[in-house]
Amino acid sequence: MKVLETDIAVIGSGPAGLAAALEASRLGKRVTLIERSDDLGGILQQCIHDGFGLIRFKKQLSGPQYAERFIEELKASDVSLLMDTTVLSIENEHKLIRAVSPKEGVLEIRPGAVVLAMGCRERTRSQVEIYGTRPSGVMTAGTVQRYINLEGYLPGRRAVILGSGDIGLIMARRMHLEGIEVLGVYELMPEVGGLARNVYQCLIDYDIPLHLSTTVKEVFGDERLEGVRVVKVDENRRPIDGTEEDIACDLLVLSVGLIPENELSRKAGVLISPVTQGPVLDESMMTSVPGIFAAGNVSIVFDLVDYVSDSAEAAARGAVRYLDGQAPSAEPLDVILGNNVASLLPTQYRVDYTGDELSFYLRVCKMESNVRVALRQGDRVIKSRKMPVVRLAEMVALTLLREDLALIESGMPLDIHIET
Amino acid sequence: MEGKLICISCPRGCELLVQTDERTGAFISVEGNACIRGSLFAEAEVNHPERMMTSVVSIRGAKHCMLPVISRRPLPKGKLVEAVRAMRSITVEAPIREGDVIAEDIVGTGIDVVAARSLSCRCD
Repeated sequence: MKVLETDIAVIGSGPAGLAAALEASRLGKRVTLIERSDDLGGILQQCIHDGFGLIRFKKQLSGPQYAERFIEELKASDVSLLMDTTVLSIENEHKLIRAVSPKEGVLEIRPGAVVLAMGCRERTRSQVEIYGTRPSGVMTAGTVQRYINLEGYLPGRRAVILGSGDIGLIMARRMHLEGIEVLGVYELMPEVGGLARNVYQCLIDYDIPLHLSTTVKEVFGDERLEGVRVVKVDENRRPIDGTEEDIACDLLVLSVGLIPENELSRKAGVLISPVTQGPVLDESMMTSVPGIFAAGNVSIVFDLVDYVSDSAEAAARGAVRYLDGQAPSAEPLDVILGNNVASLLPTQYRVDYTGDELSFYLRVCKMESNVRVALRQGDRVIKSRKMPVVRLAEMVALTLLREDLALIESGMPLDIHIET
Repeated sequence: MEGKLICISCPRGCELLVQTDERTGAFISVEGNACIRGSLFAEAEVNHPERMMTSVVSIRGAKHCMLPVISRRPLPKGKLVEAVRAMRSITVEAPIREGDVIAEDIVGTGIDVVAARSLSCRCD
């Protein structure tokens, strides 16, 4: 069995893994990047639409273009790549990684620190309640995206989309442009799940109808999907009798949410937060297992890839400080979720943190206008930011600089609120 | 005349209130934008709406069979469907570098379509 030693092992080469590997390498560490497929870039390679990288590169790039910038830098760096290599487990005490690849067979990687960057996974039919048969033609938006953009297949002719998340909206446009008739987007909630600009440029541009407070109740068809039954729902999301409508279609596209992919993290004994569904993280993006860090969508589902890259660089810097023996060691303060805060990253902070800045990322429970996002400690406001509006679909970032962090004292927990 | 638009220049998605000329339909003014991109978008959206074109073309000799492509600049919105259709008849050979021109002057717009990623030969 081949045994490899490295300073930092990064698991996954999507936007988080690429950014983490590069940052750790820039800081002088030996890095091994482990990727289970034969392609770098993760999901970005099938997200061929533009709109990525406005914050980081001040440009609207397509997914592959965003990935390419990191891949070019990676090829010029001395990061070691293990492609086609699937991690099976991470032993928590010594952070020993077991992996397999067709070329090497079973591999053992012995890193000083690990950055988890496995991303997230789509919810499937079995995770939402849809009755009926089990025909082919029911698939997630990401699968449809893969068929069309990577493999060159059209997976249907008449499509219904359930869920109005950004991927669902993007795929409505993509399917329409490739000649699939898109009959409508159905959303259980009274509010659209994706960004307003995607409703505008993906649905309104092509007259694709959006039905809010409506869901797919049942699917029909034996071998192949023949139709779906949609129904309106009340404010408690219960179907309203008599509002059913049957729609003939051969493709049902599910865009019903994303879940951080943490099987490996759980196996490694990492504590998972019920709020983010990702690992409980501290200010350095370190999990409950010392030396194991998390970055990007494995830690919380981000809305913008720019934030994914930022979080990954923060995790890499944390891992480097850990290896250099400079990791903060003070008792962590909890960061408590206050008014209208649905999820938050990170949820722990140590006052001896030596980083130059720290970003908190949060999602709200409900849309509100003219608000202030405020991080407080007791009666004192540590940092706040005015926002004209906060929405479910959009993450809010609150970045603290050195002078802001200096205001935080030991002892008392922090709390973060949306104040009206 | 008054109309509502949503700015697509960034994820913020500002809701724009646009005033246009009753007679010609031409752009007059905009409110609700948080930055300069919003006013540029509103004027373009009223007078000559345009969108970036992203699609795929076939590629031979690479590990994938499709290559993502993107227009160098936004296309007139009315030309978008035609441009995406035009991509279907294109096949290129690996290797391809990101930025390589895949189609010149697409559907008479004067705008080139370029590769959005690099794809090496399968054997490399």
